[in-house]
Amino acid sequence: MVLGTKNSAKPVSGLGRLFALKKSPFHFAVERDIYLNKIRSLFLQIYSVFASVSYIAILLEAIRNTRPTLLIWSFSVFAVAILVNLLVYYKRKNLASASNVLLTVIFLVILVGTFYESPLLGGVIWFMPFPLYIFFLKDLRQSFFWAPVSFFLMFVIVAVSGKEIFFTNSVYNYAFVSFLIFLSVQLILFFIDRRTEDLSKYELIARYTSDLIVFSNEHGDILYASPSLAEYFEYSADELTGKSIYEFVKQKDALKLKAAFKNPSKKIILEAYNKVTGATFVMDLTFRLVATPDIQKIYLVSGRDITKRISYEKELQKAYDETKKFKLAVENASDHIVITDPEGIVLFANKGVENITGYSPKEVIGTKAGKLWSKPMPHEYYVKLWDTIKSKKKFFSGEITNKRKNGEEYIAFTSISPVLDQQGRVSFFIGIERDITKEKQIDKAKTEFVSLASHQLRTPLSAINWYSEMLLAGDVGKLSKKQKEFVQEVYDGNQRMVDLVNSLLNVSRLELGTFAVEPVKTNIEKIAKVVIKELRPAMKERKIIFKQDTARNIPEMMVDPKLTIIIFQNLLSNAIKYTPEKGKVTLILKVKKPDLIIEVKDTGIGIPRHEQSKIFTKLFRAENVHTSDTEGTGLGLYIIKSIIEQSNGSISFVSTEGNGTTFTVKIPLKGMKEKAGTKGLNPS
Amino acid sequence: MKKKRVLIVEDEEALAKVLKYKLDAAGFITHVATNGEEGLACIKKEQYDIILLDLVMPTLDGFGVLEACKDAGVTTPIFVLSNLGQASDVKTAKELGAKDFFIKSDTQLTDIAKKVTKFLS
Repeated sequence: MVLGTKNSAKPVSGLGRLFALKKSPFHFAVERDIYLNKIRSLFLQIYSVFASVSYIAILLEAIRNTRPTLLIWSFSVFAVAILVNLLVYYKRKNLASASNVLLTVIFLVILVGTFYESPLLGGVIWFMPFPLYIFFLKDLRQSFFWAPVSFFLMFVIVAVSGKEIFFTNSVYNYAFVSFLIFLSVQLILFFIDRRTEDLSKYELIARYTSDLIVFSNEHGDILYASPSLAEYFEYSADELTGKSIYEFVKQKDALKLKAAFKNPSKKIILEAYNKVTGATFVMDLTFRLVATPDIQKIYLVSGRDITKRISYEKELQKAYDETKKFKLAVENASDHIVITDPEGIVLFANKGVENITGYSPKEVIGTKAGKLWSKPMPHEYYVKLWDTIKSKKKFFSGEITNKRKNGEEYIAFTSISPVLDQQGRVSFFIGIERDITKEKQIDKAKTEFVSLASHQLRTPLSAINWYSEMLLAGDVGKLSKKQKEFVQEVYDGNQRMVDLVNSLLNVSRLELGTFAVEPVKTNIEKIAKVVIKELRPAMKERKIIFKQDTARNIPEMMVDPKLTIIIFQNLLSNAIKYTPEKGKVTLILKVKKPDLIIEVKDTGIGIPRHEQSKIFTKLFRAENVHTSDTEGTGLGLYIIKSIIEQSNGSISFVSTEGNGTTFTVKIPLKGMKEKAGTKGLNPS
Repeated sequence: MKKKRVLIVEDEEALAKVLKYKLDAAGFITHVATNGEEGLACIKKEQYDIILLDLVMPTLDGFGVLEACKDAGVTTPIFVLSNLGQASDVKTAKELGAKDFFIKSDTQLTDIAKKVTKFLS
């Protein structure tokens, strides 16, 4: 961090630090400490002056009175003092301590000097209580008042009492008072120093903490900013001084900030941002009103970057919510869901288990899955199940008959999936069962309904069919021509009704999805022949010219013969029905890989263009057939399209009204797709 | 040649009547039972050459009759004549021993007579 280096200044010691502090608006906030430091500085200066003057006085005294012992003694002591002073300075790198030592030594010299009877020096030393007052009164102004007062008093006492204050010899008086003062000064120095040490600790904290520390006034102007702020705002701590906190806060949070200044000691969380990089940070800020000097309020704003914490919290919350959602979903799913260990012992069972089996999760957990509700199934079923899920580690599904707690049997569609760990070993099995008893019952009911309806509808039709047949055949006596004609109408009408019933049944089977596609190896050509043979009478009646064009390479295919018959019947009978007399109908069978193509062409009435899109819809009949033919059911094309598409084929047509139609059916050469179902469709 | 005996088990009177008429005319001796139980009693009591069996009937249905015949080891050939036409019905009937299966509405009386004649000749 570029700016960091700028701020990672060595702790400034002694007077230097004091000056550094003096420069900083920080001193507003630490008013008391700053005052003390000022005093200390002043004290030191005064004291130094006094001490120097005293020393010079001692020297002068020694020289004037030619007292060589005193001279040598004071010189040597002074030399030792300087030496110690330097030593202390280099060892502790602390000017304050060094100065203390220096001053102490100088004081000793003065003390000794007073022993040699110098009233002048004693008088000088009398001024020493001044710092004492400053320290204990903790107020400069009061000190200025009380110190001179006390000097005066002391002076008066000494002057009036002459040489007998404490001791009879005035020299001893001076010495004793000086000693007391010396002790006091040491005491003062000790306290001031301790204070300074404390202050330096706090400053170090502010300097090196990753937390953000700001002193500001009530308008948000920064008076001091800890260097840690530089990490966020591209300014050095010094550059931040004088700027407004509001500059670094998003507009939406400005009010919050304002409120915090009004009502401090409240925590606020807001978004700060770096104007240069655009980066935003979520800050957790605490406000404290630390000082209220006469002019302005000073706030300590301490903060912490909680961007990461917030994002972790969000992620954690999200993960928790997801898990909770997931758990709720599983818990409340209507399906029966169990999670088991690799041995099949149930670890978890949802509500569905209880709803379906009747066993509560308490009863189920710890037992082998299925032990409570499985009806004995064939041994092979279980062998296959365990082989699939445990050895092959694959998904297993199947229908199974189970038993509820109350003894009732139900059919379940069960699926079991193994959950593998990173080594590919089974960690869990997840078993899901759905109660399909009702679906099965509905299916059965549907099938039975179709079956019964077909039976009930067909019974009266059979009677009409057989009786009219007997009448027509003359089995109960010969009919007149007119009678025969009329009975024939009854017979034909009935036949149409039979066709319609059969078609409707086919449609219902297609729509219920109950019809089966059962492909077997089939000769398609033979099927075509059977159908053509059936339709010969109709062709003859309408004098249709029928042409068949079969390629030689038609293979035997896997198709459902019944469905194939229905396809041929519908396409060919339509072609015959809707082609005018003496028209032409052509059946083409050919292979066009990958399909077998069945084409039925006619020269019939065609399908009107605007109705072509609807011809495969159920019960649809084109306008132009209503007039010429009333027999159609409108179901044939719908049925064959369903059949063809459900067996993976396709059907299309080209038609011009008045010219004829060509239907093209494609059935994949690989055969029809098998479809399990309960019912086949019946050819009409 | 001795006339062949045909048992018609059919609950629908109209159908039984016309069937009997046709088969009689075709030269068979026919007997009509109007439900499954009655039919089963006839089968036990008398010997028939062929049985034409309906499926949906009161008391005992055609499947029941087929099952009973199968259990009792009755060897008389049985043709099912029914208006049930689902593939599963045909399959069940054949599994229970029916020789053939006709859907009444889709089959002409003449065809039935022909099939029976052919089968018994």
